[in-house]
Amino acid sequence: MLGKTANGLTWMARYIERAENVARLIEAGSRMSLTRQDSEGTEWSAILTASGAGWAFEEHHGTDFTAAKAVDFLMRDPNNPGCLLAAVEAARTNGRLVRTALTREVWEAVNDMYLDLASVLAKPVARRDLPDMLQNIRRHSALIRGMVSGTMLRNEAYDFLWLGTFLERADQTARMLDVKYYVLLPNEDAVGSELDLAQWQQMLRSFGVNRAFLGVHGTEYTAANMADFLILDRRMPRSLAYCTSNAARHLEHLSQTHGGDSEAHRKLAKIREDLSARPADTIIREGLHEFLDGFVVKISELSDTIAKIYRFTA
Amino acid sequence: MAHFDEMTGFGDITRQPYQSYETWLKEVDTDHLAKKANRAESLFRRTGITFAVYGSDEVDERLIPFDVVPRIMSAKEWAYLEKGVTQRVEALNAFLHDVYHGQEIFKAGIVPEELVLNNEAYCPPMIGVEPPAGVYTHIVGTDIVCTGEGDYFVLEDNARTPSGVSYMLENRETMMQMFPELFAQMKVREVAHYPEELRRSLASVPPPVFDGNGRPTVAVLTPGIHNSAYFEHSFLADQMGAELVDASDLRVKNGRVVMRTTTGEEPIDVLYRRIDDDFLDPLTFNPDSLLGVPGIMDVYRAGGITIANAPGTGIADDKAIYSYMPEIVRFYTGNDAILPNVPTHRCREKDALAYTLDNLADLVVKEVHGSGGYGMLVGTAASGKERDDFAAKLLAKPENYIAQPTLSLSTCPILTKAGLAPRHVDLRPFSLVSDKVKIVPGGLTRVALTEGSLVVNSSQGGGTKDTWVLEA
Amino acid sequence: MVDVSLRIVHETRYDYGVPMGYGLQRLRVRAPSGAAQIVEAWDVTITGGSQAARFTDQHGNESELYVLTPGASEFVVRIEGSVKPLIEDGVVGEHDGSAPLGLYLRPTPLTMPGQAVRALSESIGTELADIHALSARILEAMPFDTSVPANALAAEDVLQRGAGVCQDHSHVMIACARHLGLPARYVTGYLKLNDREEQGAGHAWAEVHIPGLGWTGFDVSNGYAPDTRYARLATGCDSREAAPVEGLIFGEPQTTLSVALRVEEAAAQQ
Repeated sequence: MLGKTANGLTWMARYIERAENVARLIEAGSRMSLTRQDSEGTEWSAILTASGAGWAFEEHHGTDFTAAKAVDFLMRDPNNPGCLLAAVEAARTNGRLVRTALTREVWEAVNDMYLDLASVLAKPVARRDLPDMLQNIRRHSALIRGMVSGTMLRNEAYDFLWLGTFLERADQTARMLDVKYYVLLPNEDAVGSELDLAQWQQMLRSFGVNRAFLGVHGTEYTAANMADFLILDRRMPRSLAYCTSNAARHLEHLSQTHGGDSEAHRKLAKIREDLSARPADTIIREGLHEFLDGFVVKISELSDTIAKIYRFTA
Repeated sequence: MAHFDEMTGFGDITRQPYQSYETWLKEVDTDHLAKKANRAESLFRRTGITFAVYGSDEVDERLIPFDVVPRIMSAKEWAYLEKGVTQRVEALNAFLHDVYHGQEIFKAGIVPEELVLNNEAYCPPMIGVEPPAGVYTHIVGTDIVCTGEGDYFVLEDNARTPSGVSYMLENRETMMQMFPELFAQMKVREVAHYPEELRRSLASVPPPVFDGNGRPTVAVLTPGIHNSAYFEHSFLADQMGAELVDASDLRVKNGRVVMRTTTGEEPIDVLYRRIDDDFLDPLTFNPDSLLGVPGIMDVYRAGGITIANAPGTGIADDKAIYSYMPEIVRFYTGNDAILPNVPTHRCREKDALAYTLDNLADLVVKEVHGSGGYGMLVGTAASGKERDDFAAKLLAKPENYIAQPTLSLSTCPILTKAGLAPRHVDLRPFSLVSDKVKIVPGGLTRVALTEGSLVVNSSQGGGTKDTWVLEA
Repeated sequence: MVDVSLRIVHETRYDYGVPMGYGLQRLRVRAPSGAAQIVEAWDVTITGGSQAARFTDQHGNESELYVLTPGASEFVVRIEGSVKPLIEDGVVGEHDGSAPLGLYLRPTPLTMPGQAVRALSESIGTELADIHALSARILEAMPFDTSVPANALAAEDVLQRGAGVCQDHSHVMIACARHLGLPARYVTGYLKLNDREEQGAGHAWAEVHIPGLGWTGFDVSNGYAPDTRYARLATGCDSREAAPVEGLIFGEPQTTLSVALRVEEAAAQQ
């Protein structure tokens, strides 16, 4: 497979995953601000930070963190290069670039997502349409993953797609968890407060795993339990452990066609070791923010290594 | 002027190839057709058969308009065209070999030497080069028009990188989804095997360096995702099971052109390139080209790769050469051309120039090197001022122009908002050349969507139709 | 019969200063034997690259493409050889080769005639004496001047500039000759200057196909007809097609080009 194609597949998948995560962030933001009318701004500021658009927002809108402005900025504002529409466009451009490595159904699902969102997001989304809209985005991305599972050969292309998906998802989960833990609460006294609990619940809900959490940890919405669930629980499809172990599986498949392990395998193995080295409460004690920050950096280094060894660019 | 209509001839009869279709048509109403047309459009959008139009700051993605009424041909009509196009394509290849080798045709005084050697489309680096299997034009698109029952003329040969075949294939695919009942009832010959034939044809001309083990590696070279024909490039690569590469994937190494893959570098045996000669190799041609592969011509000339179509084939479809095609066909095949040319006045010749200037109102005048319907004057449709302006251009550089009578192109019904209405059409069948010439039955029917217009180019408001060749 | 040979040692060195990535060099450095000369010995040694292709081009030049060795910071072409020149009066004779003579009438971007070229060719005939007169006229209009920039410019531009080196003079001669309807071509090679053996650079001259004589050389810069002091390397429609070394380097290295060239007369081998 062409190095360029591997690059395009990885990024197509990453951008789709990213679009879905932006949608989930907006969902979390909407829920949080709905439950607490008085300080809407804090949540949206944090959500913008989590999506990496905080500075860009302030540059264009100052600190006017209203829901309408924040949602529009996250969804479709051309001043936000990381907005949902830009991610979908980038996914589709990458899809066109690697069209020959996709099945017709996968490509059409990607193109459909773009055509649908480009037309809906031609103008601001009314607040009443937002829930449907967000659900629609999740459906599109689920459909694409389903088409990948259902129609593609289990070859290199398949592995690069999933590698992109899981690296992006791990990155996004880490960022979101960090924002909730580090940015959202007004002060340390608020830990364990009603506000704290509500925020954790909304976050779980936006991931679609609130019921699952209940099954595992009951109603103990402590930072340690959340960290355990979102970082270490291998059954939870957005946890860092789950994402990295799946990424490792696809990297493993690739090594079979590429004659053995590489620097990327070693890097990922180290990341996974660090994840399983200590329980959640130790992580919290040693500093969750530092832990997540370090994780995000290591994932980004791993991406660079993968790009290098699989000759993504000349 | 009465036009010959593909469906109704010159009068109210229904021509034989359209009889079953007409019966079916009587049973459906135009609303039904309009619904199908809408559905077809959304299918095309979804597949992504769009081309980019670059405006001042925005990129607009457009579809080439598709019409749901097929253009239908009888087996007999097709057999005649197939024979005529095959003969012409063989002659083109013989001509190309000759102008880059022995130049017998100059010595015989049939085509003026300077018209070829001084032509920008003539490619000196091809002199003395023996392309694999002697094939220059692996793919040819021949533009044909019809003016009456069996009255076909070749309007243009496209021997460089003819495009449009993806529309032929997708049009058929869409028609089969829209109107399965028609295909069940009428025996329409298949076109879907074109990509396989293309692959077979390309794989049958590996370069001398190919050792005969395994299958030759075929790749399609595109200028990139921003090219207006990118869809077709990726479509053909996909359908052939070949890699789609751009210049950034390729480099020259150890006598081969290699592509950068996830496991290393893999040599390409046959490159179906969809970029023009001028941009192919900055070391040999335009040094400013960023789209090309530096050194690929050296590798080609040393026998390390097959380039399809071969560089320098443009001399065969040059409009100045076109007018000599009947003589060219006779010279190389020993027979008269089966398919006639449109009578052509070469404005480089004094008498022809005078005639052209005197009859501008009735003629179509084209730029010798132009394409896409640009730089041309349709005398019957032009205003007095447009004609005067054009006459000035013509006088300044007469050798740049040829003139042809305005042909009364056949029409074919299309679906308009007001129901079915006739519009002018042409036809571009695609020939594949290896040890023989192979033509998939059908081609791309282009249609001028504006009433009365004769310009079928997609860049100027043309659309397309599916082309049906009946089995009997 | 002439009884001297020219012994040539020619080293061209590109020093990139940094380890190189991908880059190409196309060479036309195989001196041909023919009506003008017999090549007695010819060795080419390349350092810093590997051969990617070799073929005979439309002008009969042996053309070689080299890919720079990844990581190498220099590329060196060393030529050592001996040539026995066969002509005394510039007349090489009838055309042969795969390219039709008519090809040498075709203008190239570097030899496209403009107003100045047309004016200079005014009232010039097509006899040998006419072309000699043209040669003198060119040198008068643009005296030899090594201070002009070294990059190849179009004939029309250098003529309007009014100064040039052998490359420029040859381009103007070619443009004028073609304008007069005579085929013309560009030749690269060596000249043994009378007063010295170390030379600063290779040489170039023009050849015009004169009816009755065939290809005839004109060294406009020196006012000579190429004779036994000349050895030829490559031919083309202009300098781009006849350049002995033509490179394409990616990135922007600080390249230093150095040339060491020695042309000396030696007793002919019998």
